[in-house]
Amino acid sequence: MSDQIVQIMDWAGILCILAGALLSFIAGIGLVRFPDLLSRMHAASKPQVLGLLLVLVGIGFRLLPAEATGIFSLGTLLLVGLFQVVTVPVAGHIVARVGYRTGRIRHDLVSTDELAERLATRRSAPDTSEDTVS
Amino acid sequence: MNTLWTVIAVLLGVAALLGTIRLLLGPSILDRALSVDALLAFAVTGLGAYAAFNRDPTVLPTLLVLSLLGFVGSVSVAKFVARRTQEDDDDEQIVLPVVENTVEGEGKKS
Amino acid sequence: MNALQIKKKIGARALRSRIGKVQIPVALGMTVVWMLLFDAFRLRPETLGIAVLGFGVSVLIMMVFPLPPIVPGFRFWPLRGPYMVLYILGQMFVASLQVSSWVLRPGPPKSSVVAVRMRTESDLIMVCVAIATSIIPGSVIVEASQPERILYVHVLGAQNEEEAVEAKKGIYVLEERIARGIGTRENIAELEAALATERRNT
Repeated sequence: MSDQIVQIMDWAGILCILAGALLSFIAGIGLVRFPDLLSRMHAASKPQVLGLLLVLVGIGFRLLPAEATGIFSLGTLLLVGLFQVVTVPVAGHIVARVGYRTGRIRHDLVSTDELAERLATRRSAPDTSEDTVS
Repeated sequence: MNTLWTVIAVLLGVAALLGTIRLLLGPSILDRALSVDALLAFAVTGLGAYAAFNRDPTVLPTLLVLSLLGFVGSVSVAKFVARRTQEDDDDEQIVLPVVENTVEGEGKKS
Repeated sequence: MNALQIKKKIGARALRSRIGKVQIPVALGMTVVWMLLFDAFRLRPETLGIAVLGFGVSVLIMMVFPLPPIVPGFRFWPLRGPYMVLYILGQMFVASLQVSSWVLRPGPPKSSVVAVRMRTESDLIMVCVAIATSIIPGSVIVEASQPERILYVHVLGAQNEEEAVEAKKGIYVLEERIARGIGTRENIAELEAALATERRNT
């Protein structure tokens, strides 16, 4: 591989990682600034998926020229991305659900809340079975 | 290029500090779990930046482990919170089928 | 509930029915993950051994922890599928910028919880929509009602009714893209019927 291509790939990689670090930084600010759990979750989910994918692409760009050493594997990067994309929604949903149900949400900051309306109607008619929302 | 690497390191360091602040402040245990999750994401980014800086793929398996660890951590904390709040205030009618399903599943297995 | 019934049946039967539970495509997918873990896609002497061992482990896992099959199945459309992936990636970028702007703007952000009723009957598409909305920053699934096919989504930055409706429309578009990307013909037909009735109503 010619030196010029390697240089371009290096720059692309470093820019990807810089974007990932910037997303992490903004997520850190959001974590401290946001008022309730659910909005903090939005801030935190940014570096978890997009930031991570960008960093993985960046690592790929940086490591590809070094593949001659024979220990580099694109598969591991692929697998990290796959696991993250599959597991983050599950964890996020469980935390959000428990957070909402235990009242960790500032209701004064919520403009429309269709789930609360729904839960209210269900509470007023308690004979509807409990596992309709499951 | 070196300045860019420094910028990346500083950004990640500040992000980790902010995450730690939320970890210490966090009013509830869920906030703490969330900030641990975010801290893990920052750590993954940092390790990735290290791997890219040194062109060193030996830390890549660590990324794999960390990406799965965050999942297990926050899920177990959330389930623990769900169970505890259900025991604490049953009168508030908090229905938590997450917990109910687990209990049922365990019953089936044994 | 369906899964539990299936589990009960399996508990009653013997090992033979468990072997019947093994789904070959899923086992092959797990083998691929196993091979990725061991970096076996580079040609070397132990590649075949890793593949065989991985297949054995996946079959064993599926016998010990049987899962119900993916009922309506799915098919990957060669043009719409990649377009779906690109669309989700693009939405991730756009939404990241939006969430970043909310972080940097002074004052606490307002948000909404909207209910989105799926227009397709497939569980798989509902799960895919849920995953896609979760990995796109700015929207988190708070609650999922499987029998009614409603997702309750917490949207950051939706300050009033109109923006909540906008957010809902975004998720509908996402569902349409996913159904056209990996849905079966029946799913797409359902979606089109729903779209047609919507158009008639407006």
